[in-house]
Amino acid sequence: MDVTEAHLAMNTLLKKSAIEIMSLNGENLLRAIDLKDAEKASKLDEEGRLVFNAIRAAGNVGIWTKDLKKKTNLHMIVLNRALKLLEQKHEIKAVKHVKFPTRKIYMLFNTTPSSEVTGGAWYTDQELDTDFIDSLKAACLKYITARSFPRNETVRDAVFGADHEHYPTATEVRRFITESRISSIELSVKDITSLLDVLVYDGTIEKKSPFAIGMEDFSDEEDGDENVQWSYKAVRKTTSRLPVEALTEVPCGRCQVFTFCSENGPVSPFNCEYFKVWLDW
Amino acid sequence: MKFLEVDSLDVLNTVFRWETVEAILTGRIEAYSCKSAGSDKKLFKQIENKYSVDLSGGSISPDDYLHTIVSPFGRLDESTPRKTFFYLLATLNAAFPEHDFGDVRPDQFSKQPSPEMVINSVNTTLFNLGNDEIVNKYRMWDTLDEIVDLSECDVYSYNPDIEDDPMNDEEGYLWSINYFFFNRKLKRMVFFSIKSER
Repeated sequence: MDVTEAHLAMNTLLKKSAIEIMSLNGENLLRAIDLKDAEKASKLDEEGRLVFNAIRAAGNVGIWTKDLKKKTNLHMIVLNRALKLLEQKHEIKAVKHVKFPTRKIYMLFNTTPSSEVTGGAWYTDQELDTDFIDSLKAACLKYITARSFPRNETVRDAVFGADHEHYPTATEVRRFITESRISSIELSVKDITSLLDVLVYDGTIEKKSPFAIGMEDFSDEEDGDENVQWSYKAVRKTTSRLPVEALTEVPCGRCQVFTFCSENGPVSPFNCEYFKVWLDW
Repeated sequence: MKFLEVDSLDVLNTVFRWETVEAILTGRIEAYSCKSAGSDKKLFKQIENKYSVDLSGGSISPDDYLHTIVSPFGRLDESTPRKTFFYLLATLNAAFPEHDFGDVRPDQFSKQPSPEMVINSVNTTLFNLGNDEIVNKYRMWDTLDEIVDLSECDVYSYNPDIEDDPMNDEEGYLWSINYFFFNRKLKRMVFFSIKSER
């Protein structure tokens, strides 16, 4: 096919809206359009087609009327007329963006809004579903706590050794949540990870690196981030047995005969009664 | 809401723009009559439905009920406050055609104590920013008084969430103030705003 023929063909297809011109990296490229959409577009008048194509190009993110006006260069009244017509024909629909609830955003009728627009798993009807989040957080915490400490009836507050490698990962937590059917919607590993991050910031669990301590070629740039499986361990909330203020915890701090006490005297550290009591925990 | 063409307002809007060392300030004053137009009917139905469905529940405690019903315009289970709320939303829709304010909550508005206090406050802001001619030379308040009889107005202010501010349309936006002067008897609304940008 020679150049003139190719040009002619391209122009015809462009007029029929079967292909469109895109600009990528400074070059102009041609892209084929779904025939169904092309058919719809060709039935519209010129303005309607402009609007329809611009909305289609916005995909599942949708386009704001202000941006639509800039892109199509149409007068507000003409634009609104075209939008009304397209809406009546059920070719486009108005959607609400969680971040910008007052903006008038449009997308093609059959497109599912992206999670950025709907807020994803954590939003229900444009509102942050705090009850849902709270109950999920509690469930995750319970599971993680159950796996963070060994079940040992004889030793109170037992802990695993420092080399214990089986603290739950986000994937395992997700499996637990899915199996327990607490959530009516499906949650991805990314969703669970964000939830676990909230728990980390709450101070109820801690994140453990999957790498053994001592590995030094651990770059901070997380390229292969997807494969890094962090583990999560519950933080034990006990009344701390570390002395709040050492000098008052030690019996000497509250001893009435402190000044009298000396190494070889009648009262000395060796035969101190308070120490006997204190050390017998 | 029907936009009112007022020559004196046109003049004001043309001159209501000045610069300080730090910013460019733009004022915008628009007058509307409370006549239903276009999408207003849909908005009205939306509001009526929202606030008349809540009532018969019976499963909400009296405290919670009051909490949802009490607003800066009055009790939303009464029709006059609901109408006021509707007029304010319709004005916002008319002033910012690329937005739909149908889901704005009543608590995002605040009622100002009196028109005199608002006038004072605006004057202070204007004078502090170096613009007294809009008031003294161009007689802004006199013009507004002719349109809407300021002393008989209820004044409200819209406080949007930071990210969703309709006045924030360009990079360099700093802040804005807005007031709605509503004269119920004359069925007129004046939308007044000043925006600061870099």
